[in-house]
Amino acid sequence: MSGTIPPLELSPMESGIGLLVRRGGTPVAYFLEALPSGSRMSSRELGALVYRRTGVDLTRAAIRDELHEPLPAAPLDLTVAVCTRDRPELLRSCLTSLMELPEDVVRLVVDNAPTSSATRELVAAFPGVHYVREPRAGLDIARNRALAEAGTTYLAFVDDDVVVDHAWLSGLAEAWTENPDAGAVTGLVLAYELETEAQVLFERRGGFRRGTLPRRYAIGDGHRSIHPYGPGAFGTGANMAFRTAVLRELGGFDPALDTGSPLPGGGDLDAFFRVLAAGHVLVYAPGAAVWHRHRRELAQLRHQYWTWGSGYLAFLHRTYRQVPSSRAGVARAAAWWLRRQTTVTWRSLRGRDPVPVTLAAATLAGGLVTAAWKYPWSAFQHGRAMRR
Amino acid sequence: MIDPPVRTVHVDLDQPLRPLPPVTGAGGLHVVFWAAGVPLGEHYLHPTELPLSQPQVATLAANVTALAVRARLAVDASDPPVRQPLTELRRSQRQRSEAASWAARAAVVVVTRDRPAALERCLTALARLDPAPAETVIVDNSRSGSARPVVQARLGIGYVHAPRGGLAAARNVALERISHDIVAFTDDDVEVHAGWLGPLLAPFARPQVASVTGLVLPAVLETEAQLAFERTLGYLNKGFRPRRYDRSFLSASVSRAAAVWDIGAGANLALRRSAVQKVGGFDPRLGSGASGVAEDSELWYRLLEAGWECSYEPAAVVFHHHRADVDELAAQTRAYLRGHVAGLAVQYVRYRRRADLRRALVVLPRRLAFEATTELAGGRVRRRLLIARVRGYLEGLSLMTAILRTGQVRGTTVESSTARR
Repeated sequence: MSGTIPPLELSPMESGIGLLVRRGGTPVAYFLEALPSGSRMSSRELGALVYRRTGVDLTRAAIRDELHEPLPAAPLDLTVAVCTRDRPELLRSCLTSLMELPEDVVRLVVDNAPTSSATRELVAAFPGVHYVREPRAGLDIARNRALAEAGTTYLAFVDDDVVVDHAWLSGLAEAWTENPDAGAVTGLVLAYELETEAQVLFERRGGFRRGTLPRRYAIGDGHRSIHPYGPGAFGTGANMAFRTAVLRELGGFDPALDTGSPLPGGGDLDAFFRVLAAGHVLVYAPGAAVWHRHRRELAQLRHQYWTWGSGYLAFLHRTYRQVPSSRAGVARAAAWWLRRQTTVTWRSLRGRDPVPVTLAAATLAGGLVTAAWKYPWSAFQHGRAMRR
Repeated sequence: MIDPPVRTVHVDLDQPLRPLPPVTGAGGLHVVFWAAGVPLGEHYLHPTELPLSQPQVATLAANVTALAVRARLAVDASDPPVRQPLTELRRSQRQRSEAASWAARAAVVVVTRDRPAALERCLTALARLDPAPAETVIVDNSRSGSARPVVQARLGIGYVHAPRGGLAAARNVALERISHDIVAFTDDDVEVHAGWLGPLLAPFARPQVASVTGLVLPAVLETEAQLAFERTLGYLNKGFRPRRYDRSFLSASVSRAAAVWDIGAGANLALRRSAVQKVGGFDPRLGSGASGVAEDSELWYRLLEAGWECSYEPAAVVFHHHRADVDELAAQTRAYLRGHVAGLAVQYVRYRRRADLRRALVVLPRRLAFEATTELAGGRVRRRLLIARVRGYLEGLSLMTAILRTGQVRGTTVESSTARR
């Protein structure tokens, strides 16, 4: 916010903007605004729009600094792991962004059950990026492999379809400096591009965003009634980091939650929950941002929503089975989720939501199918594989 | 969620920040943040979320207070944000015109009925008011005059015995007897903040303002009933952002009833006497001892209709003692819903806004049905409160039928002592 705001000119093809506001390099606010195609805004007009939409966030950041000096962030002893499967085109831009990080950050690619050598060849072209091949398919299996390989104090995971922000590392470092007791830190996930209808729709419905308010979570909470069983309340696997020792003592990720491929199940939700359940604090740090390449096509987006429902119900089901003390809370969360998804689908059906009904219903369908069938089958299969 | 007892801590951001230590012997911490003498936000913390270091408190305070601070800084939404919001807030608060002159034109009135111990506590808090009012009057709505000895034990407090009718009628008596321009009302189960009157009276400098309401915070949160009243029901606490209401508020939406109950609470209310007399005083068919509550929100409705402005100023703070007992709370909740529906009926009879009728006949039952899906599984207290709300709603419906038909409310005598606030 120290710079001036440039004027804006939209091309005839563009129908709006997604705007990120930084303060001293750190992301503090983001908004979408629909605008007429080809419209122009002067510096002053754009400034007025920015302040109208983000004034509260900027005030919040200013108050924070007024109340306490920003702490100098200590450097992190960090491994960044990217678990990938047959997506070298996307992985390339991810790795390019990782090359901007300081040299002492360990970069690791876990090539999960590849069908070709394309990923290996790609990684070879990036000096300093470590490569391991994990033949057993499953995102959580791949994550556990990264955990086995990691020798640093902290271990971060980013998805292969993201690009890390240039301030991502300092955002993580600041979060751990202010919260040395944090077992995990999650970050902001922004839209890398808003070129297709599916991408804009996804972002308009909230995207991955957990907002730009920094938060601290413990196992108990004074406000949310379904805490700690809420979906995506704590962040997402596309941008998460752990104290390696904590993740190890929790036994890593649960491969039984890999209910489908190539999109993930609820392994991240489950890991966040278990971090809290073990008595550690989880911090949401919007200053540690990544840019995610949203699905370009509506069919892919529908699948994305499906896996969200699927992953969440898988997490609930697993927790219900394995953590007896959680049952009442999980049941309440499931009831809440069912009510919410039904309302969303109903509103879409009645034309009160811009999203097509099939998209709105995808989450509901994914959840119901997984709860009833897919997770139990996956857990059974995984159990069988473990016993062999 | 957190269990009672919950301890309240007031954090003054004008002082150097202190860490928040772990909480012992309580199920949670209720933190209220202040700066420049003004409350700016609150937050509830579970014991596992504590302790918090100074930088962590700073982050939390910024999160919780940003909205109210921005609302109070007289900036246009499109202007660049202020670089040092708290410093600027302190500067602007110091510049506010002296409200002492208004205090000299105001009387404080408390209507009480058969609660001498609570009244004693209330009077102790009133004695600390600074600025102090020109006059303090206790209106005793009890049949026997049980408040007389409590009042007469103190110097300089007026006493009026007004046993007829309920709370609304008693308030009307006060409005008639008092000759000062402004009357500030609070209840006998309230302890006022010492600085209550200054911010409560300041908005009357604008001649179109007829009513000012303030922030009602919980005095204690020791029992489940008190916690449920504050967090689940939330009838009295209207938040930390100042608001202004005028006539356009009533017709802001064609289909949704204007939420006049959001304007404030009778436990923290100041009125310009001349304005109230012009629109006709409190409606004695409503309120405690009559059909339940809503006597204040119905008055605001009338004031807004007549073109007056109502102001909500959270810098004027009182602390309300919520009912500690679940049975009392359930009865009170029933009375709230009953009075709410009766109030909608009165509004409809007067102004024929369909949205008011629709709220009573469509919106409320739908909301109750929806709430049933969570509240029935939410534990004993929440289940009881839901059932109390449903019963209150049904009783309100039958009062509504009477009001719509005849303009009268049968049974305006007190039903039971638990029916009053």
